[in-house]
Amino acid sequence: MVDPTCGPLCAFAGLPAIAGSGDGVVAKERDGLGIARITARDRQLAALERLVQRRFHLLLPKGARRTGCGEVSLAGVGPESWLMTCENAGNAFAIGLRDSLGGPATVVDLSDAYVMLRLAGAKVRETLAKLVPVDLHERSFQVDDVAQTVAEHMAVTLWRLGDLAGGEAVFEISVGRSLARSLHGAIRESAAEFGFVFEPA
Amino acid sequence: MRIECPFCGERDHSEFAYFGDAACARPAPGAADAQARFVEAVYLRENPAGAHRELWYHEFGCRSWLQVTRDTRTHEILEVRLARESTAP
Amino acid sequence: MSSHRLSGEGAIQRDRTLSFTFDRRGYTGHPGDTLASALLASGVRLLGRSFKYHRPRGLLSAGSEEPNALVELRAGARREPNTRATMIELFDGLTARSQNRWPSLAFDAGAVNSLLSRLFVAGFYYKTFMWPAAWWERLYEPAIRRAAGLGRASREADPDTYEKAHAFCDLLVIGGGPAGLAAALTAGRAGARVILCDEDFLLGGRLNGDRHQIGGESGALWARRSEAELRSLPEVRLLTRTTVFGVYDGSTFAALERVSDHVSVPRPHQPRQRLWKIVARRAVLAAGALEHPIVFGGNDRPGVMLASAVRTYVNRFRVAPGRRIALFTACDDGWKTAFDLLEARIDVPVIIDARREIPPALRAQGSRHGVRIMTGAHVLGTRGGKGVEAIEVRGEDGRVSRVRADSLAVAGGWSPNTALSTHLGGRPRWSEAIGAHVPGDLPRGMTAVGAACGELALAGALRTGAAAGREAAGSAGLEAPLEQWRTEEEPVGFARRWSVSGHRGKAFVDYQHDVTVEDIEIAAREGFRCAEHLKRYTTLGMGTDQGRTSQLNGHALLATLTQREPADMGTICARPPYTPVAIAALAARARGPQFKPCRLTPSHRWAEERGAVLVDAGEWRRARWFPLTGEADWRSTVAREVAGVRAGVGICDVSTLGKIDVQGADAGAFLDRIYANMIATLPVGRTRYGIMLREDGIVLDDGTVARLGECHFLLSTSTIHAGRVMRHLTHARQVLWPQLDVQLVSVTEQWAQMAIAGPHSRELLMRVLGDAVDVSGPRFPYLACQEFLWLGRPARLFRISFSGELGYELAVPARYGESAVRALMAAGGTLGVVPYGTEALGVMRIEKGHAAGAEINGTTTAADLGLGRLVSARKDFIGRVLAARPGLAAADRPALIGLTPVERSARLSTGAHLLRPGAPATLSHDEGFISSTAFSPTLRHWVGLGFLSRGRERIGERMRAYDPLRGEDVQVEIAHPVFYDPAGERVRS
Repeated sequence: MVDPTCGPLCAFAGLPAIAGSGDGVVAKERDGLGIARITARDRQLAALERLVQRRFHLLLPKGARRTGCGEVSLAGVGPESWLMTCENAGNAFAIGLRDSLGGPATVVDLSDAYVMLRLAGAKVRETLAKLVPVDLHERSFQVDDVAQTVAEHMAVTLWRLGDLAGGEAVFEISVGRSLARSLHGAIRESAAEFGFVFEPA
Repeated sequence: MRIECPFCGERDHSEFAYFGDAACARPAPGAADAQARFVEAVYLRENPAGAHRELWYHEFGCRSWLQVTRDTRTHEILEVRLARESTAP
Repeated sequence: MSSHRLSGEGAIQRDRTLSFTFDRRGYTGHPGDTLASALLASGVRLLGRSFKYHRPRGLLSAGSEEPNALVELRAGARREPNTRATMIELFDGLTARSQNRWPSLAFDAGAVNSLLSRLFVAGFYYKTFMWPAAWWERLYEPAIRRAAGLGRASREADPDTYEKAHAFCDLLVIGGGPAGLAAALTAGRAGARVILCDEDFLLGGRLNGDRHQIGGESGALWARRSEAELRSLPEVRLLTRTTVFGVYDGSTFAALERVSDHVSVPRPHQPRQRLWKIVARRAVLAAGALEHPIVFGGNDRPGVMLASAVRTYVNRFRVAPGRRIALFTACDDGWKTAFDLLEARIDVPVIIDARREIPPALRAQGSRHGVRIMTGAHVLGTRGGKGVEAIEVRGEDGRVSRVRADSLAVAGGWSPNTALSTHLGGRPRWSEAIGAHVPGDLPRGMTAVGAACGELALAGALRTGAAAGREAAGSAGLEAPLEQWRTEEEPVGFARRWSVSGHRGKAFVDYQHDVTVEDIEIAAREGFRCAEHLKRYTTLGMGTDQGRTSQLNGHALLATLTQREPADMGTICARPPYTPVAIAALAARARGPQFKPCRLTPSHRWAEERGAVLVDAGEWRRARWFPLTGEADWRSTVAREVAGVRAGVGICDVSTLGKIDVQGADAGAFLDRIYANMIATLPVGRTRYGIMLREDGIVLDDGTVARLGECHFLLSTSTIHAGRVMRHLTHARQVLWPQLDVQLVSVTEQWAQMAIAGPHSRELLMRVLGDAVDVSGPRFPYLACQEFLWLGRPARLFRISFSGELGYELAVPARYGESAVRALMAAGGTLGVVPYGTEALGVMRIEKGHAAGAEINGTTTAADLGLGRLVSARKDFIGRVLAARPGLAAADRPALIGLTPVERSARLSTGAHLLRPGAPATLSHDEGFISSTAFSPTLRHWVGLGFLSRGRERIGERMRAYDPLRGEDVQVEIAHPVFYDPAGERVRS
């Protein structure tokens, strides 16, 4: 019998790894993340805040901001709602969170709902400007800012990580798993004039 | 048009869906004249020239329903609030 | 090399030569040339034929306002009609052709229209081709279209790509002339984020065409230095070859960048054009002003050119537009042309100034050169064949004389380029000071500077530009010092002359649309007094040039004819786009297969491997059927899939159905208000079919509700309505009942969900799931649901069925969807498992009488669909009150019924109307229609679902299914909608 948990699981498998010449944009697949949506229950925000701080040493970000500590990060995606991620934790992350935060919050596993690309390179802003109607200038979209927006009719979530040592900006963009190929294509074509490199997980 | 979402910040109107007059609260379903009131709420909408309170849904953003006060003559946005905070008792 | 090229510096690179063809003849030019300047340098001045009368036409201008010199650029798939020769940057290998002529440009048979010109006057179409109406399409329109027109578009697909981009800035500068450069420099130096757009490939505007001095250097040099400085500023972006063509609400602007129009083929991965959407805190309108001609007889003869254009060709392109160029002016500015020509040693036979009084300095300078000066004089007409050979002048004393000249420069004065100031409804204002319209109420955040606001002299342009740049920087919290640029004084006197009375020959107001003085007179006589009406009646200003050079003259003429002042006449409001924009640029990447993003199912790769035929269903691409080699057609494939499910077991990816996770203490109460049926009573571990209504009482969607925990529900929606239902639920949650403790999350993307259907489905699941969950009948009955761990991963099982067979839906995290399908297929090999697609799914649901999109179509109530019994009378819910309206509760409403053909071999068609036998096929006898049909492999004949007035009482009745579109008329029998296993025994087995 086939093991249902094996097989090619990469949503980007078989897609072109380069476009154009050069490495103006380098897209690296982020895989294995545990992703959960945390929503405060009615009148439980303060309790959730305390619990998150005690358990993860994190303050719930206010507004569309992101914060992280170690392997865990929290991104504000709506009023009293956050997307929480944990490196290499997969579906087990949400199961664990349900136990720890399930009192004051609803926890929903979305580890498979999104695919995520980490975007870096000298031309990452020029490329994203072709895709999202959001001002990504360093003063307008600061490190740890979060934007849920639209890229070529696809709902995307975008955040900015800390700059690389050379000052180069780094973003992560995620989209519904079913749209992995469409997003890859949109980024690849937008970045082709600068040179696009894709690194699978 | 640009709409200042209270959660996401100022965004292009293409991220939003428009749902018209925000003044139509859902009538009390048990009232004796409920049917007439529902007909009014569902079909009879104000369409003023000037400031108008409208519902917008930030569908490609944080999925918040917004109550937007907009001048229908100039498209100037005068105020934006989360609908949940505008209608809470 | 070419006889008309002058020596000396300009803005062309003489060290390189470019070859091009015009009407198949080879020419050469230099980098920095436009097609217009290069042709002029080669002595070509007949460039096109006019729209209606096919009159020979040459260049009027040197810029984007050009009405005459429209050509077809490039060939084959890249052929582009109506391209302005004045805007085409020359490149090596360029090919262009003249248009609207036959058989050749020099001899055009269509010129016969000129002889029929009485027929083509204003309002001619309206008056003449009124009757008979049927002749319009067959005779009049094709004839007119052949006779009048512009260029031909390519009929091949455009091989190039286009893209969109977004930009944000503190200051958008529209126009890169002196005022725009001053604004950009001032704000840019202060650190503001500045975007400067100019439609030209060279920044500087009039600084390139005129001879100015700024701070002791030439204006052109100052422009080069300013450009270099702006390029060095990190927050400044210069977009040349870029036209801002639209102003929108919220300080949003649209601009078109012609990225690759100046090369023969775009470089790899470069778009041909890029559409910019720019959001700017402040905008500076520095679009300059346009010189307009004076209207006189034969003013369209090649060789008649705007005075400013003449000196642009001389100064910027180092081209002599003629050998003997007369000047006709009504303003001081026009004299610059004469002086620049004389400086370039070109013969100026006469300066004709319409004014009696002229500044002594001008007269003195003219006399120094020995030029004949006529004041108070007017040009009445021109003489010549396909170009000017002489002009007829009426002197101050009324005597008419003839002056030999091969060209005539005309200076009627400048009018600000106000178009972008009016896109949001602002009306231009008449300015007596310059005798033209200036921007009136500007869009919020926009300032007009320089010539665009009526500051026609260089000093004023620099001053107002810098001030606006400083203001914009200030609004971004930045301090910007003002620089004072030193310039020379310029005389700016003028007297308005719109047209010359007593002109000889046809006098054109709108060159592109061949609108003459006579047309305006007709319009005035017939009562068209308003500028907007004049435009519609005469087509003045309706060409691709939008009347840039004709609007002011036309309106002023109408004002004179109707005894009004131009100030009281008003003008028209421009709308976007400012210049023609290719549809390809607006579409950008949304073409062909990339028209919209495509959602792929978790099992997509597996389905492709198996050779599935795919279909686009809403946003999704799904497997439609899985053909096997040797199958005759898709019908036999689908029949095999249906039979395989009904007799054995089948697998279908149903991940596309919407899934919404609903949790919270009030989740049950909330869903009771959403669904028409009771939800709160649903036990944990059970699933229920539910329908939700819109507030107007019409069914919105149907699906299942599974209760996974006391406060945890999972809803499924139809594929098509998933987004709508989520919107509906969030609306109810946030707007209607914000006080409830309910959390909603879409989990459609999280779960891959496979339908496993057929009598052997339980056996298959036992093989695959093993001990993970007990699927035996008693432990996992019909409508059971359970969450469990399968090989350490979360999974969910639901015993629900769309096919009418014993069936389950198994959900696994989406990334495991593909391997789950492979596992099911492998384990089901000995059971004869078949994968099935949407077509078999549809056949089986029709056999079972399940309503789907064709039935839940936005017009049907729960009762119409036969689901009235689900609607709860014990609670309130969205849609309850209005569903009880008399019209929606009427007894004669159409009800869902089944249909079978009386003649068993007959085929049923969706969309056919239901009529009583013998009744005439008219709307008043229409009693219903067929909504869904399929050939049922199970019953071996066609079956259909439809709606029939009082249908449920009419089972067994025979009717006509009449389809006039397909020419079908089939006798049908009304049946119960559930054709297969009406008792529902199989799903419960």
